[in-house]
Amino acid sequence: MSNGPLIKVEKLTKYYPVRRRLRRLFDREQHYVRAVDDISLEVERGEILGLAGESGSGKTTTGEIIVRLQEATSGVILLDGHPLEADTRADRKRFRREVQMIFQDPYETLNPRFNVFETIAEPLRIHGVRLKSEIARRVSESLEIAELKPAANYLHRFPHELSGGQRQRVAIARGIVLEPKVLIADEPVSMLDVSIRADILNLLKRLRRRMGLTMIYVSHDLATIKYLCDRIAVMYLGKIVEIGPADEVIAYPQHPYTRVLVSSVPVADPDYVRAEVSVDDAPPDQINLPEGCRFTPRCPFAQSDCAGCDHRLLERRPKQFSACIYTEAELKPRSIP
Amino acid sequence: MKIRSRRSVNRQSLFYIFWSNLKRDRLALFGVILLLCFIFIGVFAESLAPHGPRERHYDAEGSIRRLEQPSWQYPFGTTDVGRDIFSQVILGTRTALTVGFLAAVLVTLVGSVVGIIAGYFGGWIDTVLMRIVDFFYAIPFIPFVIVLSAILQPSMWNIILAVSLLSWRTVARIVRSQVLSIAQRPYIKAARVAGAGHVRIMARYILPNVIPLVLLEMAFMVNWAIMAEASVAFLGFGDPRVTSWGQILHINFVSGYSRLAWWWTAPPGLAIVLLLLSIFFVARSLEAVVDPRLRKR
Amino acid sequence: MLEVQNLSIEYTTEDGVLKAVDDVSFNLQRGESLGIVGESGCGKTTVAKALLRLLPENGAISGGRVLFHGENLVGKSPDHMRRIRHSKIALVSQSAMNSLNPVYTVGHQIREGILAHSNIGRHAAHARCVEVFGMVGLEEKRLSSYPHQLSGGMKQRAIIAMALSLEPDIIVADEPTTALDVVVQGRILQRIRAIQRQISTSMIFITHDISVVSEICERIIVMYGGKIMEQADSASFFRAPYHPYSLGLQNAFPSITDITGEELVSIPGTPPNLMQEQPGCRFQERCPFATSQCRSRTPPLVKVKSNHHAACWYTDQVNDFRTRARNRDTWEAVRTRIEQQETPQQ
Repeated sequence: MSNGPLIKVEKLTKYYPVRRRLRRLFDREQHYVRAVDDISLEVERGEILGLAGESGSGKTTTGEIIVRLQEATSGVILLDGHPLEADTRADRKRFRREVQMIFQDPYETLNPRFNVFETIAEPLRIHGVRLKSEIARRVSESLEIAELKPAANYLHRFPHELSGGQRQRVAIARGIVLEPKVLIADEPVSMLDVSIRADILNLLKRLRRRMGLTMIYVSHDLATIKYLCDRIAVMYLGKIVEIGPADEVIAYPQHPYTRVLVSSVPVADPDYVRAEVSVDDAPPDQINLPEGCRFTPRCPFAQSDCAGCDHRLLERRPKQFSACIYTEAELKPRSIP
Repeated sequence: MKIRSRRSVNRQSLFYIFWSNLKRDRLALFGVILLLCFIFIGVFAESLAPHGPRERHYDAEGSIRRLEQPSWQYPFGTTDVGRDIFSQVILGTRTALTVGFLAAVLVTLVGSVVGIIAGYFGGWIDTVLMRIVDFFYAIPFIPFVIVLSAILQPSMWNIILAVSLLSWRTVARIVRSQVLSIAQRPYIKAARVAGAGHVRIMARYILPNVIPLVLLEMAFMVNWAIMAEASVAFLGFGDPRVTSWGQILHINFVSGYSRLAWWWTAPPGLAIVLLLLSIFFVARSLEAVVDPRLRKR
Repeated sequence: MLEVQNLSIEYTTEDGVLKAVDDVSFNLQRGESLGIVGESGCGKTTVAKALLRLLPENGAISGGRVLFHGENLVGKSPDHMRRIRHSKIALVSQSAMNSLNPVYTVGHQIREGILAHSNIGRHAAHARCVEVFGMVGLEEKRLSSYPHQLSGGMKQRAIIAMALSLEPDIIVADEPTTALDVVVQGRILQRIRAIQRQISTSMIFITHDISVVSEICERIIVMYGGKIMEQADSASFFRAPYHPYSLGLQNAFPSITDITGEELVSIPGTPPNLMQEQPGCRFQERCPFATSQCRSRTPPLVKVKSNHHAACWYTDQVNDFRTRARNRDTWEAVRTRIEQQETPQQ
């Protein structure tokens, strides 16, 4: 075990080829959607990193590449100092044990034909645990860690007999039964009722403490990210536009896009005074990207120099990096014609 | 708490849903009973048939019982050469069922395997397999059977082979589209994250979700195979050594008495219609099981 | 303008009768915007559908009246309702984005709606289309776009434009922004609020997201288990809610403005099963302050101060409740209580 970051992502890229339409038939150039475009980040041991962004920002793709549900087009991911690409079959299996994932939809994440026991025992069986007593013990243990107590009450239930929150707990129990080092959670609470979201978030917090888990929390919801995460990386059209301590980024956003994102979150406080930032909500075109900064077409502060932006992350506040070429003080709202 | 007290829906086998559906669906019940009768007749055909299919019958004076109307002794009458039509129809049941079920099993087996592999892996594997399917779609059935029986011998097995060769394509397509939708479910992703291999995912996660659909397709395939065998036999390309309904109608037609001897034409014709109808009713009820949207009607 | 009196709605299912909405009353003034919030299954969407008489086949209004301009809509003929819908009461629903017909342009669909419900000419109808598109912030050229050419946010705006096109007295918006991204949602909410003030139409806004209500509604109704738990002016409610359920929700909600770093506390347990007839308060099973009175008698909605009503027997002890509700242990005790109740039955 080395002392560096547990996960290190270097120059990660994922391009999807775009199907040619008829009128493009004579267009020789193959177009790509750059879902993830040259991003680098590090996650420390025991840290929870939030990946924020709208749909199409590439946050889910990034998560899925790290758990190897998708292959990267290029780039390197190091887990504990070891690159994932140079894997043998045995290595790959070991990796599967160490990185697990929790998905968004609690209704679809569990196989409706498996009961709770079978669901959680499945990863153990895949990884060659044969002893019945050991499987039973570890399944019950995970269930109790996921706060489904007493475990015996739940073992024989099927997904449709559980509430949304309970299903998500079963999914978490399945995720931790192999005792992974890394847990990737993709919008795990967005489909749950508000009154029980806090339970799942608190559970994830406790998991980190109890199992020393490192987490990547993928979400569009800044409020839950702020609550759960140490650091936040804001993505826009495949690029990281800002990364830094979660509280700082939300309180003092440096990148215009982060500002827009923060100001769009509804707040349940009648006295809250919002820093209104007006933005064009036309959808970003994922194929024909602008020169330079990708947020330029919608950015309320855009200037001509933005075409020369190369998305290099600059440290604007302590440990807080922004890809905007201007400092916060230099941003002047553009007069909208 | 109320939900928990009820038995799990997943534990209800397909058979159970089918069974409870039968109670409401009279036609399906009728189909099941009729089908069971046919199967009974088919299995015990040899014992049930009073005479051999080619045995000629003579009256007291020693002349052939030519084209006799139905009577107690010969319930469906006799043919122009004095053969017992009742016995022929009974024995033909076995042929129809054998062809129907064997071909259907073969077709669904091949079709499902191709469909699952194509749908699960996608990419070039999918493309290659689906082009093969397209190729088989382009072959017309009757000419294919004629050619096949010209190259090989006309036999029941060749007909089963021909039917299977030309109908797995349908099953493959339907299964593939189903697999495509299942393969995107998060719980399949979860299985992959847990480290499950392709074979395990296909066998443990995808197959159980496809089986109801496959069963339904199989029922329709039984029908199709029976009809195909009957048509081929009627056209005279059937196995001359095996009695089948199509063959009875073929001889009846060739003899030139098809308009005159109604008792010769009607029983095999009716038998085909009834068997197909019974399987259709069963399949329709199965369809309601597979597709919950139809269940409430 | 709209007065809902003792409205009750039942669904007949295979397992019995489900009382989705029970004895709900509220009214809506001209130009007012009212938010109805609650968790899934609390009956908020059912109320919206009942107002427009769009309940599914197995649902029926089992009691109460819906007075629109003094006229009871319950029992009106389907034909009459069809005329009222769209032209007088318009619905913007969560699934509306998929309700646009893919083979006609958006402009065509809005124009046809106008022509079908009023007797103005084609040119006037077109002018109206341009006007409402301007209101929702869509360019005029978008009128000739087909639905698939529009993004989610633009489609949702087109739907809102369609709802506005006949100048309805009331807009019923059922989770209109749930499927949209944060930035787009924020923009559309701002737009809805602006339009609603500008043309002084009334609005009923149904959502699970309490902070959205805070942003755009003047009055709020909190529903739980088919009943109204609390009804108040937004400002009054968000500063100091009265009902224990509302107090619980306050703790359960992460906020980007929070700087205390306190741990969130969710409300233990699950919503009640509406299939079973149960006496007492709907929230008592999950309520940390429930007494035997709460278990046996249903609390009425009582006035706690001007424009603020709550359905709780102990509104007089609210200060004590507020202090205790902030404490994590208060809710943990409920969790223990529920677990103890469940265990012997297993």
